[in-house]
Amino acid sequence: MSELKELLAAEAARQQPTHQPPFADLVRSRRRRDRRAPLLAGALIALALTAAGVPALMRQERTAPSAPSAGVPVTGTLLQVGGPGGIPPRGIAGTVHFQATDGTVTEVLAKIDGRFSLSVPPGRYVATGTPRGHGTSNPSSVFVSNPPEVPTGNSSGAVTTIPDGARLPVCEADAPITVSSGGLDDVQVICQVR
Amino acid sequence: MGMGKPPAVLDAVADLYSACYGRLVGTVALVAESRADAEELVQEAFVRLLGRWHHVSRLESPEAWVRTVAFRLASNRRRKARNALRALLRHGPAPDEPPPSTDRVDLTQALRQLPVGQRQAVVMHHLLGLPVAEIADALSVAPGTVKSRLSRARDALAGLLREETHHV
Repeated sequence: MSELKELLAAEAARQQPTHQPPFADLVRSRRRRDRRAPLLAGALIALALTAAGVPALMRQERTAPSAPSAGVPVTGTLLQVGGPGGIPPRGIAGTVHFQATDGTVTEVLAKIDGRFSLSVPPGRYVATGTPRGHGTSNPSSVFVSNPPEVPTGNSSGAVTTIPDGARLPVCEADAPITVSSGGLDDVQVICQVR
Repeated sequence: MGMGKPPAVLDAVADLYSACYGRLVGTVALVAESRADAEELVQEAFVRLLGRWHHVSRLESPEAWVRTVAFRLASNRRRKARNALRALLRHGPAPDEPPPSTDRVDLTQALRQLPVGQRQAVVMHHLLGLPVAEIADALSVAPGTVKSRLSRARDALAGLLREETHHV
């Protein structure tokens, strides 16, 4: 078998390449290949997900209700109306609550002159208020009016008097207010007193 | 991968690569399907060496480690096919090699008619002079398997080389 050994050795020598790539190039090409591998895997996963119907899910996500957007400014006045001697409407201090249709309540303090300002996302709200010193407000016990630009008829027609039983000024508006994306001014929250 | 290896490791492996790349390709080419395939296998083995240099550098012959890894890679037929395709895509068709001289027996062609396991056994035993036990250990097979492969390979080569001789 020494002949076989010689043949193999001669053939191995003949098979040797005349040149070899620099080792640094070899490492670089491998590094590029390794970098491409995750990208390729990601592309394959994306392709598989696409085939699995992810677009339908994505469409559902796009049509799903969006998260609450940033608030827009709302200003108004907490007013006291009525009372003995026909006192004209005047601003009073207290607390104003904006309850959104999803139940979220935003609370703000009205100053001594009744003015308040807050920021809420656009939408429909039931605004309620509590004069200072009358404890926590209750939507069923406090009046809310629409802003002047929202036609609701006169105050007597728009307001429902809550059955007696408390000395709190109790009123409730017929319609909720609508806050547009541009905000809303002159919201009047009126506390009807007897 | 060994891409983030210290410069000392890169330098050491690069030195070994420069010293024995050609020799390793020549040997592995007797087992592989082509020289391009052999180059791909040896390069792959060297890249693997980067991550194991701490261990391999303590061995008696790091070159033997690289060769064994290349041989094992050659055993993987699927990998071999993929590497061949990569080599083709990367380097294009193999350059024209000078035709074998008329008085030379084309041993490579004869070897390539053998199963890869028999090729490995023949090259490791008859060219590299490794004992059966060491070949068995390197290829992760039983010593009896190596003996069997060697016996069959010798018989096959004897017939093939006799045919080649008659044809020349």
